[in-house]
Amino acid sequence: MRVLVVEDDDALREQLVSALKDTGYAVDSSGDGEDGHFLGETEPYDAAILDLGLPVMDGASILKKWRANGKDFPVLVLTARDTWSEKVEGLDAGADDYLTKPFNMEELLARLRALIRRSAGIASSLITAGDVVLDTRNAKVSENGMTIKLTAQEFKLLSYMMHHQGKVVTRTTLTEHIYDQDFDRDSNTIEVFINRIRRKLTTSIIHTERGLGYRLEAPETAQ
Amino acid sequence: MRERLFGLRIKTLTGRLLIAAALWTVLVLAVGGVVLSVTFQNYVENDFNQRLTEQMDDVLGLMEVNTQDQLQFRRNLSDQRYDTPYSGHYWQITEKDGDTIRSRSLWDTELQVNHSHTQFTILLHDISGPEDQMLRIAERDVTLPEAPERVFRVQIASHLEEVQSAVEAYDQIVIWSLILIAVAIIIAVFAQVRFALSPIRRVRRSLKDVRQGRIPRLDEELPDDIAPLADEINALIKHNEQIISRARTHVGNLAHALKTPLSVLSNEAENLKDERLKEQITTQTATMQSHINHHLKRARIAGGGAGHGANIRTSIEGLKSAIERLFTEKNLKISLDIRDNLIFAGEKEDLDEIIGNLMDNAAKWCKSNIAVTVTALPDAPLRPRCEISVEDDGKGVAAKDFDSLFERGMRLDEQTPGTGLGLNIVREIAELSGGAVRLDKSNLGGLRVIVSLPTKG
Repeated sequence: MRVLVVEDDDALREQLVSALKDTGYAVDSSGDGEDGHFLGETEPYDAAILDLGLPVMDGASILKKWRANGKDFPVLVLTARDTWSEKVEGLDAGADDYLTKPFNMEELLARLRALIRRSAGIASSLITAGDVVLDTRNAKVSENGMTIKLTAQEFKLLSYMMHHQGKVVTRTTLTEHIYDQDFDRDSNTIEVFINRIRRKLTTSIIHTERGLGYRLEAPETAQ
Repeated sequence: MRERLFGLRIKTLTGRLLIAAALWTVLVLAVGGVVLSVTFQNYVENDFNQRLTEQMDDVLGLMEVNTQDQLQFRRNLSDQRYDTPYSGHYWQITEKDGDTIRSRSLWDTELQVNHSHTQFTILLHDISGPEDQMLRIAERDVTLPEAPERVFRVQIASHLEEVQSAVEAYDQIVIWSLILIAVAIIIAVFAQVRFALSPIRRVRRSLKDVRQGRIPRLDEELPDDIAPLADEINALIKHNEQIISRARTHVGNLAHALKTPLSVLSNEAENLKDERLKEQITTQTATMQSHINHHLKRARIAGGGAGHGANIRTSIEGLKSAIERLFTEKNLKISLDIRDNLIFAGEKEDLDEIIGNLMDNAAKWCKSNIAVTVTALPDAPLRPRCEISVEDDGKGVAAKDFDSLFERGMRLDEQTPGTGLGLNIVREIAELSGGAVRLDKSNLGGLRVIVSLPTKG
């Protein structure tokens, strides 16, 4: 899962980025509105955390432009402005959730998880594929109740595929969603990660679609 | 600025204009009255003198000396008044160093004669006659052709009472007419002043309306001489609004600027190993946050006044979609019953804050149903109000705990949102806007909060 953070306060941005990275997200961040807007327009994010009071271009304008250009990733607005008039305005501009500063990091992470799940059409915080269960609340994967130890990159990859079950996901898409933009991308590594995950799981849920990419599907629905 | 007129303090423009008008009216009319009276008196006296002269001519024409060298009238004077005693009309002819004949009306008195010098022209002067009558007397000396050596002093006298009573009667009429005119003029001036000053009263009424938030600015359609005043007042109102809005913006900016560092601090504290320090920082940042929120909300509350009004339906519909989005997981069913298109007499921010807090509470505590009802209250058409009721199908609150819901809740624990219901701020805004809040049990099962707010008629 790849998340964009647009926040002009350096200290807060650092906190957000590190908390998100620790939770298993690939994170890009920006300190000004124009740059943040550009990232949102060009990179495929799974969610964005957007401050409303930004230099160069304010958050509400960014949001409106994204929505006007068909960018439909969930956006969590993070702002010090907490009147209901401002909330209505922010949500009208296209925000999916609204969190006012000062906020609790746990609450932010919980809301972000919920936003990503909802946009993938998943109701529960536990995502299952056969015997494999991904608990989005603590970023743990288990199979038949046994915890599967995954590296950060492996988790990101599996998490993305769990969120997009039944769909064919190209290697490029996977790269885009598990690496932030600063990462030196090498598409070969995707195959390495896929193979490592397959080896760690007993059930075979990741299928290769020749020439297209990969598809994650639980065995019983695949029959 | 109060000025004094003859030591008298005149408090109103109307009073000053009236006093000034009354002063010149009385002065002009008094002078006019004196002139009229004097003119009339002169006229009456001239007429009186003229008659005396004519009577003198009559007497002279009838005088003759008979063959016995006695003075006599060729025939009797026709005027009966000369025969009635003390009638006020007298004649007397006195020969120098000789006899006196006189009218019967003189009865037993005689007019004084001063023969010290001879004069053949008529001399008029006033004397005191019988029974203290003020007499005007015309006298001259005359010689008759049949006795050129004899000099007769002819005196004709008339009571001046005639003149006096005519003048007095005339003065009465003049005085009463002038008083009547003065009263009429003052009433007319009063009406004129009221009419001329009516735009000022209109300005005053408009200013009151501005203060009470019924209109945003003064009416510009005023007479040319006070239109600039209204323009200046409007500029002042605008200036005030700008100052208030700037002050609010500053408070807002300060508070918002503090919130980001507070976020950083409290998030950083979460990662601390030292539990005591962590606890300390968490508590203190929470306190700071609650202070900021409290004062920020206080600063935001417009408290009625120069609001441009806010459409209640628009606000509720906007909040409904916001709340639905914020509580997507709960699948809320929010039913709106807004029968009238009402305008809240205040700022949109305040209205949003009141209804937003109530709907947010309802969304937190409901199972899935929320009902918002807006009705106009018909009881006071001059001070129109409406009632907004927000209720939910949650567990509700026992009636005995209603009061405690209004206590200022400190959100120390961010994990469970809303340990305070925000009802204290709702009540604060509602009361400052001239409204009120009360609580009730909802038919849906949960809490029902009813806010009454002033609306624009």
